[in-house]
Amino acid sequence: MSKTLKAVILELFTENGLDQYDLNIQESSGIVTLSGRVDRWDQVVLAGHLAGGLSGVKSLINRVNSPDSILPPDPVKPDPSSGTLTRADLVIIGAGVVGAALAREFSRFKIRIVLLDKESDVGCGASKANNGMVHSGIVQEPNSLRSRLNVRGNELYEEVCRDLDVPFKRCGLLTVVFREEDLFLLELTQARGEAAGIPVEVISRERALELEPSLSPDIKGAFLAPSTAMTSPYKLTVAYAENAVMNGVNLYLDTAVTGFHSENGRLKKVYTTRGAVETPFCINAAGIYADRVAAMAGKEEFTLHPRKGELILFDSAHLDNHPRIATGVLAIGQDPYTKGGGTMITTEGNPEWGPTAFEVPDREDTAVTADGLDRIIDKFSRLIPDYDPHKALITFFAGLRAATYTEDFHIRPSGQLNGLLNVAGIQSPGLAAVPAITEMVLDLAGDMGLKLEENPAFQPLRKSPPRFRVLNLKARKKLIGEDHRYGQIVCRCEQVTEGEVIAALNRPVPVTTLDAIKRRTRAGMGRCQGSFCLPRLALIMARELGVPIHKLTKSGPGSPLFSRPTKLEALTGEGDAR
Amino acid sequence: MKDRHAREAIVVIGGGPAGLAAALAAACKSRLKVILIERDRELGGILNQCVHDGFGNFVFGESLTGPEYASRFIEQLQSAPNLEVWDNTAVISLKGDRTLTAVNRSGIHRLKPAAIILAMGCRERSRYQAFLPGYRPAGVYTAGTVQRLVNMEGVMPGEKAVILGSGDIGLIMARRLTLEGAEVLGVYEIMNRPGGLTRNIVQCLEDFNIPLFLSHQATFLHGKKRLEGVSIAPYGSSGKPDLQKEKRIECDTLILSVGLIPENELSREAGIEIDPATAGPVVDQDMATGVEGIFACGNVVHVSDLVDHVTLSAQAAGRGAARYLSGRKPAGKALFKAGTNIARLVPQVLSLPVEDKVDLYIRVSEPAEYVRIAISSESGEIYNKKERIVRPPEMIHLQLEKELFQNTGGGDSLFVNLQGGEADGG
Amino acid sequence: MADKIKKRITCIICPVGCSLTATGIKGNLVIEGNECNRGEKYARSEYTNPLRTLTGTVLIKEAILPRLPVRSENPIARQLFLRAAAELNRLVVTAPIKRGAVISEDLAGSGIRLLATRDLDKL
Repeated sequence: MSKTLKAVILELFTENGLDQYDLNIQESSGIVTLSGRVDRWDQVVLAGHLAGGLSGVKSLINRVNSPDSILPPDPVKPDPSSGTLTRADLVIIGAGVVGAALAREFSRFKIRIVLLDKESDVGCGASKANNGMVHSGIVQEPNSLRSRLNVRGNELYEEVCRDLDVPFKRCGLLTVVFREEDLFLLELTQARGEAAGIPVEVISRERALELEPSLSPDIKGAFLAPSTAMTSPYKLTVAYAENAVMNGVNLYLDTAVTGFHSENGRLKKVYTTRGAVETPFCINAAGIYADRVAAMAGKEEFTLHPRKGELILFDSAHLDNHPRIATGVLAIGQDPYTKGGGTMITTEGNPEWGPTAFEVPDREDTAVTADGLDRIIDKFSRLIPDYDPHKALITFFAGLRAATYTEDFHIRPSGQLNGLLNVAGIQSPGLAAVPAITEMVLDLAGDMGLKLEENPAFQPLRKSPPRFRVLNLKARKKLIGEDHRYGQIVCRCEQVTEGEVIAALNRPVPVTTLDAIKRRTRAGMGRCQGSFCLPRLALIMARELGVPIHKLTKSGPGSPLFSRPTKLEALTGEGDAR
Repeated sequence: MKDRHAREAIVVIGGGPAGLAAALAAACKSRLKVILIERDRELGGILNQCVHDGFGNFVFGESLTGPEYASRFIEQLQSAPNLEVWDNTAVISLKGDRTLTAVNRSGIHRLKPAAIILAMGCRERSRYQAFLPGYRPAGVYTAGTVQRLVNMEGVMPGEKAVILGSGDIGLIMARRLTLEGAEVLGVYEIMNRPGGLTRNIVQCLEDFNIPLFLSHQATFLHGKKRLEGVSIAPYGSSGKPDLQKEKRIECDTLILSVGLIPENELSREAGIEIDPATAGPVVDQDMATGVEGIFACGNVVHVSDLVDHVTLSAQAAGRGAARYLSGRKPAGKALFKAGTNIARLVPQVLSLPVEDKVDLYIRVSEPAEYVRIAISSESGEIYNKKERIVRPPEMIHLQLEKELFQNTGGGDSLFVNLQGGEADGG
Repeated sequence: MADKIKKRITCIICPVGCSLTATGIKGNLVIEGNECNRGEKYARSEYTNPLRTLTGTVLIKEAILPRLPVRSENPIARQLFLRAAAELNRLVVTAPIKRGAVISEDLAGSGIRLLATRDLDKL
């Protein structure tokens, strides 16, 4: 059996021109390790995908190298002498949406939880840089973990968002085809949906245009998936983290994991850049670095490859000629770069196009490319011909999907360290799957021996701080009456008040950076992109945090907003008053 | 701040150069109360951060700094008995029936004034609106933001700066940052000609040996946390950057001076017609918009290069609002239409009968020399003026005598053309 | 005046922006490229003693803002410009300050005064 698998991989390599390279294939109980050297990164990815796509392959470790490979920096060496930071019953590595959600769900039980993240805020990886779509699940491989957890997650979403006071909108998805020969794809999707229990309806061109008159008259047909929804991914992450902290979770930001300490194959300590955390259990939810963290237990167990997704956001005032429902395009042989993308309206009311899907070698490459922008605009301008993206654009950004080569979620106990559970490869539809991932992980942790005794004090409800812009007149008056700082607008585009900024600085999850303020309040997210509010926000932050204005950062260490006060000579010996 | 009084008031939205002059003119010409609403902590708007001189050559016959220019108006306003200033107050909604919602620390205020003058100014085009790809690090700011940070908050954006776009604020900030001890590596302009005034090219760049590169475009921003560099390429003839000649400049700061956008969200909400050429309201010579009782002036109407022009349009709006409240309604309307080599003009509408001199502001599309600016009705030319040179950065201001329009009737079109001359191309 | 020193000067008097050359030959100054007399006059002053108004800010204590905008009362010689700007970076004043207040009596030895360009009240 194992011989056959290796032979099949070799055959695939030959068919795809990889036989010119001397690639080594090792296989042991479904875990395949590739090594060798090719010429380009896309060949590294191709080799991984060819092998990882085979049904017998459980994990794929891809050590194939190319001149344009960019290896992640070696992690800081653990320093066992650095002392103990704290102790816990469970450590969760990574405060993205998955780690934050897990922290919150485990806080239902009487255990001491530590949530760690290397960044200065929660949700700084893929959680802040995706389109916010809660997919229905129809595009996933029917028998995959991705499919199962997506469908289940979608069912659970509304309740989670209600409890955590996070925006959620079931907008539905309308996916169209432009060619007669692609019409069969609609039927195929419907059949797949029926099998997975996802409502899908194939509709005529006329019906689609009736539903969304802004779509191109050139479409030939469509399917409608009413369960597709939108949420705010960074607000959800913050809400999960805040609720976790409310329920006793200890959150350590700016804290990177450097290694594990085990005795007799059993986890004892998690080493961090701020000391060791003594713990018998650990969940690795380290996003794009989850394979590196998993490998800190000894050796690699799977390999992640970053797939970039670029997104464009438009002015919420430019809604004319834009579909209210989310849209997508289905075609045989379409540009893989924009295949998964679509148009949607965020829960904040901004039209949004994308994402692209592009394999990149660098796990830090969140740069938006000119090519990506062109492709998004070309593709969706064809879908919505009367919308002027150049006039309406306010910003763009990119995130990295943490994909395995088996292209499925990797939610399994470590094969080498008792007490470590890897929750990795959470690429699309990861956001949609989050509530279901937490269910699955709770079960797994129980199986691993983590004692879960219910915490009667658990408080499942979390309220968002008030948002001036969305309140009615009466509520606004009341708010200003209680705290007059809610009457001082600091971000003119999004109508964010000083009161909201100050409230954000005093929430359960500490806020220390400008980006964190932006994600909490939307200050700086509007059409002027912070050119008006930046000086005002900086003054409020400096005052409330008690730091000089020139010490503020955009996103934590290494990202100073400013370099120094002016008139340094005059200030010398006096210190800056501000 | 009792809301009911507002029915008998003129409200000016914005206390920058336009709002100051409009409020002052309205307060002088009308007996009604004038309420000047400013969202910042003090009046003056952008003038407070423009510590450089060069303001007021036309209006006051001397070269003032921004704060000095503002104080000329603020001091007069203080002695106007019918003027009320609401500072730290933001207008968050404006309807076509002139119902206005303002918010400040004392609460929410709904007013329905007799007349409204829009003077919200403009905002800066961002890095994203300039379609500049790359990372999103700290250290990328618009020039006006840098100006406020350096001149008012006393903090430096960085030490090694590249300036993108040769608009006036960018040029001014090149000099300011140099004088504050930062290194300005160069100014890169996508057009084949500078965007700012010659005076600023000479006194802000040449004086300090700061190079200006025309026909260059930024192509990529480097640096994940803080800006580390910017890639620049010559702007090719195909309309795309010539990536063969792309080079990376190491810097920690990028300052954008790539255009200003009139701030018309309130105008749109009120249903005011916007001219796609100016991106501001369509107005007549009294700066009246198409919505009754709402006037507009300054950079909300069209972006000006000189504050003097802002002041003149604001004075016209203040007088216009007072005239409107005295009950005088136009008997008819003619239209000014932009012809050859005219990018945009203000006013777009001529209300009849014409009772005063008409200030016409024109911006050309391309530089040209030895030209004739001609205004013609269907029955023939009514005005012409020779100009030695016209350039897009310098707005042309014509003062037209009312007698020119004695034969102009309602519904007429007046075509403004640039004749003769050699366009420089571009 | 040194022999044969040639300077390129962009005229800023009007939008034409003539490119002028001023050449000093044994005490005489030859201006070329100007279309009008105003250009000649401008080139002469730019060649012999270019003047600029210095504007900027100085540190202010106990005020509602941390910096006070200032200007030179009259234009100063361009060669003194950087020295004068450096002087600004060392000055400290205390609120309240009135517009027109003299912040320095003699900027960089030019004999020109430095004035505040706005009022700044005490915090």
